[in-house]
Amino acid sequence: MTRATFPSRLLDGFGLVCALGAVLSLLYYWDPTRTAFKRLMPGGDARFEHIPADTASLPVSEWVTIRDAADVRDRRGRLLTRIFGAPTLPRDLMPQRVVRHIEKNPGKHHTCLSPTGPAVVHLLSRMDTIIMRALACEAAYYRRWRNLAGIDELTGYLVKDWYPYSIAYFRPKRGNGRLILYQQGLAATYHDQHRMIEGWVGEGYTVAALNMPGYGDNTCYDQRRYCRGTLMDARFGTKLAMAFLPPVVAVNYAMAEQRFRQIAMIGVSSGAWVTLVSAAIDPRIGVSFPVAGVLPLAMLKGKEESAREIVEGLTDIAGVLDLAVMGADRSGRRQVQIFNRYDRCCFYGPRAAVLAPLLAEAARKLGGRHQVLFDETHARHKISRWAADRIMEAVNGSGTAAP
Amino acid sequence: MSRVSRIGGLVALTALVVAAGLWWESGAWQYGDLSTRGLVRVAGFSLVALACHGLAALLRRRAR
Repeated sequence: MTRATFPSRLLDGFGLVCALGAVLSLLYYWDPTRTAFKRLMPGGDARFEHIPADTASLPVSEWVTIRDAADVRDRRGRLLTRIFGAPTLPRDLMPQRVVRHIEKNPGKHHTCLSPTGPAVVHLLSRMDTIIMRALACEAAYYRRWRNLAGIDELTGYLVKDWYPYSIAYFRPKRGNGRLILYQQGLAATYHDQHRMIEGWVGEGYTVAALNMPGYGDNTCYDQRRYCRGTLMDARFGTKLAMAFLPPVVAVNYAMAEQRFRQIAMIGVSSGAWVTLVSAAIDPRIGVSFPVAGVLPLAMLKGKEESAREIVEGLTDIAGVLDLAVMGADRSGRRQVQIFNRYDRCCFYGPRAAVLAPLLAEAARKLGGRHQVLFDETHARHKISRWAADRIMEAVNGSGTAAP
Repeated sequence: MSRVSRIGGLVALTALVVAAGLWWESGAWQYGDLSTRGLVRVAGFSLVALACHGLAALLRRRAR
């Protein structure tokens, strides 16, 4: 029989506390149990289950002002004029520079700030380096993806010494004729979504991944690579064009490469707002998925207010609901908005439920389809597996979210 | 090994194995059902717990 000494008892006690810490960490970080915590926490019921009284009393039905195809044409022309300085979509605009096979030949680039690979970058990097992850630094990690033929870097120089745009264009070996535009939101880059993009490429989708202005390669951090040479036309150097031009260029480039039978756009958080506007102005985007974002400006609360500036200068032409309807303005066009009901960040709760029937009806009158879904599988600000499955069902026209 | 050691070690090891399984099954990445950050937290607590219980057992053996 052993004689328990004081230090060994102390260690046993501390060990037991740490073991309990491990269990609590597991419960806190695993999505299903974290969701349960969120629902049970004080105020959770009011926050996540009920439509706030100030939202319920808003005159939302007055905010859908698009009635017919002529309305759509008129608003689209005005939006395009406001964004690009001309009433038509710049369909002939190509990237200023294309680097083929960047995963094999990244070329000269600035010091990589997070050269740790996608799996551990969140553990070993500071936030200011995470949001600056560069394609030339990361592409080598994607080289062994299943079905990946190559990655092209598409760039343009928008504002002198300040803003370029950069698009990562993932080409599959065996394509399925469908293009996905993925628009990342703030405080991250599309590299954070590497598993999702890898899965799409593996299934044969061509993927164009985009960051918000000022994130990833959309800055002049790598001056020599992105901010030298001829600037694009001054009309593309505005704040609005910086956000909404890259998706147009990505589609232009993709269409010049091959014909696509479906073009989908998925955006998360602030990227959802870019997706909302892009789908409204570019009818080539057949299905669009704003995820964890997009509510009428009068419904925004707290952190959500930061989204206001993305559409600043556009909502006097078409409000958020009108923009949503314009993304589903004809037969074959569809928009699915997905909200994380228990989102710990923003755009949580069932607020969008008051908008869903209005949007569905307005889109139906134009021949399109609008749907609002609530993701109840997690309490984070992300695209979950559940949401990704619903998105792919809609893109492929299968499953419960099929047309 | 004391009873506390056995219980603590088993709980820590179980939490670690479950966390690793959940993390791996959901894609082994930050945006999976269990984030990479979550796995690291669980692993950290579990490994410290196992080290404490191991050290306690060693001290007891030496004190015999």
